[in-house]
Amino acid sequence: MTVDIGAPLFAQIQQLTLPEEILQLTFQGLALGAIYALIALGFVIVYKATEVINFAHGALMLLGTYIVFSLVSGVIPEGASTAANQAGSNFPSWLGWWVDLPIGWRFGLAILMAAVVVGLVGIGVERTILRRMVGQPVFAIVLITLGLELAISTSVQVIWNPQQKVMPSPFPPASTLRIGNIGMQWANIWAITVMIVVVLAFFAFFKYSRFGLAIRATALDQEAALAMGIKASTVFAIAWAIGGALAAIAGALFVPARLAGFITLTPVRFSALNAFPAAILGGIDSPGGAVTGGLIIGVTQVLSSRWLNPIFLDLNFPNFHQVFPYLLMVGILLFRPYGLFGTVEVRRV
Amino acid sequence: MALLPSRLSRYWLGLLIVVLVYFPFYARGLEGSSFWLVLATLVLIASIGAVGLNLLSGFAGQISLGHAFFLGVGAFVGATLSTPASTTLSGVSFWGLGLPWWVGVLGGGAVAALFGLVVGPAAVRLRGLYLSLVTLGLVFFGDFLFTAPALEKITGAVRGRRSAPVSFVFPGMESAPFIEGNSEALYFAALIVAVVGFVAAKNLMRGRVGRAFQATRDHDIAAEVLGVNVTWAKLTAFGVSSFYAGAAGALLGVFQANPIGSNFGGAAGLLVSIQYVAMIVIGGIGTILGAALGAVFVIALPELVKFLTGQGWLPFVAETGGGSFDESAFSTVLFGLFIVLFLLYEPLGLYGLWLRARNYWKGWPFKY
Repeated sequence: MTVDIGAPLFAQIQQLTLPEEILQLTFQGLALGAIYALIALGFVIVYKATEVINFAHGALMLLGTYIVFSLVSGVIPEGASTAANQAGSNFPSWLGWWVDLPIGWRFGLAILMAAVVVGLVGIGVERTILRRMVGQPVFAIVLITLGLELAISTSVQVIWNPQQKVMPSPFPPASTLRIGNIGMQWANIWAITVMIVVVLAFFAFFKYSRFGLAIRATALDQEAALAMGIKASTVFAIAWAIGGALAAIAGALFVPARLAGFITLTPVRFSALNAFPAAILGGIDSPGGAVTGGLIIGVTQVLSSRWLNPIFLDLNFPNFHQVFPYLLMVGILLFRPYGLFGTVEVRRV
Repeated sequence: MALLPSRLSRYWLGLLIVVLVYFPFYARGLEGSSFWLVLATLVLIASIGAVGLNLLSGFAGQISLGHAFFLGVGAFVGATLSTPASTTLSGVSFWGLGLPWWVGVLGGGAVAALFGLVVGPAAVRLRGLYLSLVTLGLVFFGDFLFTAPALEKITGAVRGRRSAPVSFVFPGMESAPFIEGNSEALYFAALIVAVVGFVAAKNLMRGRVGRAFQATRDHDIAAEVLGVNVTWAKLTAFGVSSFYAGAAGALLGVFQANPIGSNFGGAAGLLVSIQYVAMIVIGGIGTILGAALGAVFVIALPELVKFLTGQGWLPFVAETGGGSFDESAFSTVLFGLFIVLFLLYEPLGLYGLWLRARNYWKGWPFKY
């Protein structure tokens, strides 16, 4: 079973007039794009600091999603898998105060905790494995992260078992905010809000904090940064921590916003691959590009699933929206090989 | 003969070929004979595909995650060429030209190579990371293409199509001499293609083409300065590699009897691509022999895990379907770990280990 990541969520769109429909779908596209933007930002920060494309990002997302699930529902790995756990009765008695918290608080705090944990996992991965690969060919490093992807996501699948789970979330799939004829799901509104907050915090950190300055300096010229007394190892660790944290946040938002609260392994794991075009489109070393690219991919994917899919369906090619981001990416790359905002690499022999 | 520098290597290679040819006849007498034959056939088919990927990634340095797509193209084109016209599967009839199996293999390879040449221009524009992501998109495009009802006559859309078994029957003969059954015939077909493919790859990499590939891999601008036509080298690498993948795919299609599009695209296809990448990494990047060693390792690993679990030596692993930590999950984790460990500690893979062992015994009991 696959879940259509880029398809519109509403079936009753037909009743809307064309402008309303465009607004409605653009909103859904922005919500999807917000999640893509968070994922792409994770790729970009890791790439900018360490020049590694992290194929294990999807696996980290998966890990974050399941940690949030366990923290909110109290279902510790293995065992139960159904909605029955929503009540939170699985927690030991000394955690009663946690269960008494409103679901919204629990969900939000769980995301923060998951972000910290996955951030630490990111640091661990960098320390133990990728640190040793500094200076090795790009090819080898990409393969290492692919190997990690397999190992981490299969481990997650083993620990939490592959059955579908229901994420208890503060936004039931049906709860919407209606403005005129346009329905906006609360899960989507929150996805966009969280994205804006996270992105603002990210840019503030990047621009004004000492660590942000260190990351930018290292990205610009690693040797010069080292000579100025910036510890490259700290920069790498911070970048991986931020990457991991962003993955966890994106995963936790993705489930209620796009999968109607059902945690299924494959869509979560491969949504990160769908966000690759976003990162590439904007330019793999440009945080602003990642956000722009994410929003572009999200909106165009949803719009294409509404207006291009029927055309291709008439030709008997269903599910066009699933390849659309990649086609868009290839099209743009052929004209701008470093993406929309990427730095053009000057290469010397 | 210059391929084999010493008399000793000629001797060993001759012995290997004799063993490979004799293997099915030996396997007939074994307990669970079909299991060993099937395993050997899969290894041969995978090694053909792995050699192709190694030409592209190991020699020309172009990272590709789209190998599964070319395998799929080969499987469906090969099946279309080699099945009889009236082939049907659950009510759907497919196109079939009824040509001999080797036409299917060559045709599958050729069409896959054409697709490779279409992707090639992207490789000329993009390098390294960007290329790996575009080829990743190819896997998703594969899912879109192979499962589309528009191509039902070729791919069988969602439910897949039928492929015809390999036959070695020549005109005027009732059945092929010595060969019993379809699986033995497929084994010999794969063996022939693998031997031809290995010799061709080894030969190609010794000459001008191979040097051009390696110069492109090591530094494409420097290569261009030295007079290598980098555009041509990258396109050729994609074409040749896709040809190998297509040929392997055609045989794989025969092996599966009912090749299904979604196994070559999407999430499943990505895993197939990663498996092939694992083969060349574990076997040894940039070596022809390494691709074969890697194929043996990657194909045999799940079976080894299954065997060890069956013997009760891995008490923490459940049998397939017996829990979430089952054999396939365990082998996938092992794949991932082996890729990481080999890249960290032995970048030349199994071939590197073999070199080390050989050099150790060469100088034994002295260290150097």
